[in-house]
Amino acid sequence: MDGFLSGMAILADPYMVGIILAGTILGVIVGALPGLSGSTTAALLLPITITMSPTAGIAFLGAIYCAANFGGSITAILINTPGDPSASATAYDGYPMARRGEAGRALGMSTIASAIGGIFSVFVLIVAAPLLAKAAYSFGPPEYFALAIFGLSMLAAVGGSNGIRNLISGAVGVLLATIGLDLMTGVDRFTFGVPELTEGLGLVPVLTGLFAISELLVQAGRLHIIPERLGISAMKLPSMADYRKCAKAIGLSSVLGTFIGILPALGATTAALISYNETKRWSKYKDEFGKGSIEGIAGPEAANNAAVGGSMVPTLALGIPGSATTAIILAGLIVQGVRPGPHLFNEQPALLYAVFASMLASNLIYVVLGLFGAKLFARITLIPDAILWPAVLVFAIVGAYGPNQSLVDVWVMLGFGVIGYVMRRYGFSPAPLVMGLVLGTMVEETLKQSLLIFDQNWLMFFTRPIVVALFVVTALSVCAPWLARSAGSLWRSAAKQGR
Amino acid sequence: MTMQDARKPDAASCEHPAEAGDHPAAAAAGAAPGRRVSDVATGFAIVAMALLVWAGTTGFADVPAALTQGMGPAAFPRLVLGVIIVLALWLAWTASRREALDCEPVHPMVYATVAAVGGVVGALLLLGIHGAVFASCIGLGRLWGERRLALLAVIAVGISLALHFAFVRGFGVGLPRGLLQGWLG
Repeated sequence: MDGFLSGMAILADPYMVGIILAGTILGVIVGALPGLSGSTTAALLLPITITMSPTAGIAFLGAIYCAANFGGSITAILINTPGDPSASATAYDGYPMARRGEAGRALGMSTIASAIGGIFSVFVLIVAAPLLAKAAYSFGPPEYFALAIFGLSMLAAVGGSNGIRNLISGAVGVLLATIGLDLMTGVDRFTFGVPELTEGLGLVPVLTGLFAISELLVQAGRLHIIPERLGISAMKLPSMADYRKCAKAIGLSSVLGTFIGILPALGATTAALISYNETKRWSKYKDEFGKGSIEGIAGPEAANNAAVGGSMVPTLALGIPGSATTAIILAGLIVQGVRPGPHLFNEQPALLYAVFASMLASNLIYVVLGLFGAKLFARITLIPDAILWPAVLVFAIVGAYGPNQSLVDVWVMLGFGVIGYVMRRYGFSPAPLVMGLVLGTMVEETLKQSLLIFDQNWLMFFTRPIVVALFVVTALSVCAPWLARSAGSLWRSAAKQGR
Repeated sequence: MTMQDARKPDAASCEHPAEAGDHPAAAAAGAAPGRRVSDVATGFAIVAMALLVWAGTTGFADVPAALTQGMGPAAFPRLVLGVIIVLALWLAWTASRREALDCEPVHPMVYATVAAVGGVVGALLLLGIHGAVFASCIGLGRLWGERRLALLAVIAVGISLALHFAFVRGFGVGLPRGLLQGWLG
């Protein structure tokens, strides 16, 4: 309780409120810009947080994460181009509403649904994270190894046929984490004689390259596409009847989004897409979906913001990132010298509760920004690409160079920019690679420690009940798509025979 | 833009033929016939790269067995490479269940942008961060179609000043000065 109160006390500190306000405004602005997602923004601004205290830095990133998801809906509604991938489901009904002249109503519902989902998930975070941390307090290296493998295996569950691609991306990330000095033997691995690589790949240049530079190249290939921009003629907000109509969708999606967010690797985009389908399934007005249904906005928006708080649960309690952005926040904590995990709840409770408070405050701040400033934020989309992206390139270079003052990091960033572009071209998402990179060190360290404990006997893993349970869940999550397909074909053949 | 554009997660990626026809990018690009890339080719390309990296692990320094305490420096990377190879072969093996990706040619502007970004880094090495800012804002800005040179110059000056005051003065972060600035003192 003391930790909770001291965490909440940051909201009385003008400096911290300023940091949260700046993070929220930046999150909404950048989230609204197509191509600059919450993860790209967090990656670009990560170096700035190094100069802040750990509490301020993480509060800043947390506020960006909350606000960027909401910001993404502004462009999804107004120009049919989601500013953040998690807002892609919002465009299905948001854009048709805007075309009917109801952009204000759509944006208003998006704001309120986002805030309700976000606030609900922060309360779940406040309750669930310490409980999970308490359960994980007795975990040893074998349990952490099994947990990290489970986190990586969840990549298979995302994106249907892309599951195998995600697993390959994640494994490549784990491989990249082996670059540098082997701590056990002191042998250089894959450093090619470059002294700067001895300590491994810097997270900031890799993240900036994979997200910002690869997006710059994606945008270069789309310069010839001119989006149709719709204006907001009048800011007509949703009525009470609208809120009543959407209450079920918001409630269902808040719960669903939080749960999906808690599962490692399943982030806001998955939550929004699943919630869109569920909202449609449970709606009385199914025919309106895809043509401008206000429920079609409320559901995914509540879910994608609820996933934010949810994905922070495993990140803070276990050190296993719940999404690409939380992987960056995790990197921010590590850069600040803070190692997330169950011990954090005993050692630095004030830091954790400060993060919860900042996320809560951010959700409240963007309600005001969304309801009264949406028209202004919509104008951000008018910034020409030829002005915006050169500036992003400059900030990416500064961000990559800043932490270690190394030009090698700038080259690493550019290399990963091209790698990210090629990956995206052939259907491989960079986000699993980031998950693998962040978890890679943990996987190797805990595996080596476990084998030392077990005297190199791999079978000893199966003498630990939690490890066995996690391995079973891992096997199920990897085989789930295949099992579902097999069950489907069995069902179809049984139905044919029945006929 | 159509609804499909928002649903499409990434306009840079190759796509299945059924989706490609709906996408306005394809229409805008004149719907040039794309190259079909099957997952068999992708899987075997990944296997080839993994084997190349595996070969790289044979160059790691030898360590006495007593020091490795079980797992040598190459053991874990090889384990991960083994997993990658198995997954890539699985991708190739199950390729028949999926349609081959239809890959449009990379837009020439992407290559031009890569060259321009290389130029910006060249300016960074030679002229320092302020040279890179001007190279990026004016060079890349012009390349991407902005014709108002004065506006680009004003933005470059603004970003240069912002970087100086925010990063150098504010956060105390040193920014690259470039070879020329070093030589000129």
